[in-house]
Amino acid sequence: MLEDVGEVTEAIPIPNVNENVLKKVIEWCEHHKGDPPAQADDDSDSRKKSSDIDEWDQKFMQVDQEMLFEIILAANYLDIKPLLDVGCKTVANMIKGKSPEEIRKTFNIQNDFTPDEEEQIRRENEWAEDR
Amino acid sequence: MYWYEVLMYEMSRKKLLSQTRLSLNPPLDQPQSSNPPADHPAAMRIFELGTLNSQEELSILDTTPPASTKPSFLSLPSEVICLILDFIPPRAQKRLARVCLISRQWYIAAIPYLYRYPIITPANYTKFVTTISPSGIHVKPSRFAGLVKRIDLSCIVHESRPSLLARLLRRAQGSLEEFVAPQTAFGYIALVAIGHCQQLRLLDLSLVSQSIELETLFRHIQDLPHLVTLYFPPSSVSDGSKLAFYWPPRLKYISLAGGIENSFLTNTCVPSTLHELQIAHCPFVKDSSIKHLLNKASHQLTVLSINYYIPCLGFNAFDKVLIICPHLEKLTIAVDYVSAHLFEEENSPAGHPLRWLNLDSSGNPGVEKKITPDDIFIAVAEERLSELRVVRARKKLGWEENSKRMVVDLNELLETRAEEKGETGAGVWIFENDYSSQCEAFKGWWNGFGEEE
Repeated sequence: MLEDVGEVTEAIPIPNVNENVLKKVIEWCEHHKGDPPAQADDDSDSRKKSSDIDEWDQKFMQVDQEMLFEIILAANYLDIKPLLDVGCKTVANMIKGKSPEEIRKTFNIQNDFTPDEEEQIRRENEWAEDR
Repeated sequence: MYWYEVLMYEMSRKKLLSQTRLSLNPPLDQPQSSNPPADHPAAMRIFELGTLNSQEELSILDTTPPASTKPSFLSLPSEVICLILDFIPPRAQKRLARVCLISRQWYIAAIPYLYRYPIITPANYTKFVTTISPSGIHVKPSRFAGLVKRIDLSCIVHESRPSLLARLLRRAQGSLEEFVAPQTAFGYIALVAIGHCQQLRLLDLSLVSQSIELETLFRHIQDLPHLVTLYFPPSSVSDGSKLAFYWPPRLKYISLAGGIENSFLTNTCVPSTLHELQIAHCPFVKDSSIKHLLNKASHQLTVLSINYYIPCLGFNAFDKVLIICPHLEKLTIAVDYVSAHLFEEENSPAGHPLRWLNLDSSGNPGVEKKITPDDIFIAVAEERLSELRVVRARKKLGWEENSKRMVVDLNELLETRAEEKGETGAGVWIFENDYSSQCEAFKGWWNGFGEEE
């Protein structure tokens, strides 16, 4: 981000991130500041394993759903890729073994399908449930 | 770690953020959430997908306001949802199917993930085909067909018909990259359909039980521009009418099998991109024609596998394989076709790049006595196979029972050699399964897929 902006003396406003979230993000950054930088070709293998989140990060992510989403949004906005990955992994793991209704409840997502649409999608993807 | 500096900079400069708590919702509801970055594969599909099937439902979806306008809760932009979906293993098909039912936004993001690498079994094959290529009077092209990248029908035996398979392939032809053919019901029309899959990278016909004419096979696949990996059918036949076969232009890996004639091997021009070759289950080929082929490819081959069952080969047919192929890094060979002479001075030249040796066996009586760990030990100790790090031997060779001490010595030597160069992962392994029969690309693909749910 600093590279994009160039040399500035003024503060860079980050209007999308509130104080509590920023504190949390900084706590994470403080803990991880000694980490080696990610490899450029890391994308394919190591990133894809959804379960491997280190213990400290797992504890760090034990927050309520709103805070979890705010951390993810802040990491996305501030372009902190490793934190964004940890957040996304946490969500991917939380989805495991849950029904659509349970997922909606967990993440406070509104069901905006009509019953007919829901039925149609269920029918289309029925093959994925049968095996 | 520049983001860390950004934050520190931010905090030290001003505390103004603490004064104003700004809602997260307004900026997210703007184009950002509805227009994910176009370079994300899943996001790209969102625009092509459209919404639900019929005109009526399309209008419902269009007119319903998106969920995120409700100020009561936080929603994630689609690009973040795609990142989350990246962390769900493609084999977790049920999880992906459930994610599609959460909400419109999740549905649009998750559909490409669900259809990309479907797991097809006898239980769901018909339903899958019906979804991809609906039949009936109101047939519309399915919007899912263009999402399928891999069709693996290795589990399908009696559930398919040639026409059904051809229809499936035709629907998916625009996006299909990998196809594993089923054992039965693979007819001429399926072969024609494969010829239209211009994105195809892997074609595996190794399970097909019907005989396939090589002339026909080549006619349909020779122009596939991206085909890299080709597994021959086990029962190919050739009418001998054609002398020159033209290979697809980018072929890197070939697995030869079946009723291949000696004339095919001697006449064929080796594709210049080829670097991995596997030969097994060829009842008619002689060692002279395989050597002829190897000689033509000798400078480009880095991975070679010659495995049983090739009954015309002699007991020491490939003792000179390392001389013929001076750039080999990985060699899999059935001990049926080599003797201990393979590791002697005239056959294992100094400085050969071979790193990985895999000794297989047909299990025929007597073959297990042909090569001992000590034969390899001497070649490595004398610096002739100085790059060798991994030796794998089939359990049938009886190394564990009969030559345990030699195995320990060889293991130690390989580990020492690796340590000297600061490497890890060297040693001797005894294996039981048929792990080696798949090409590297294929194994990598499968290993990266995570666990089934």
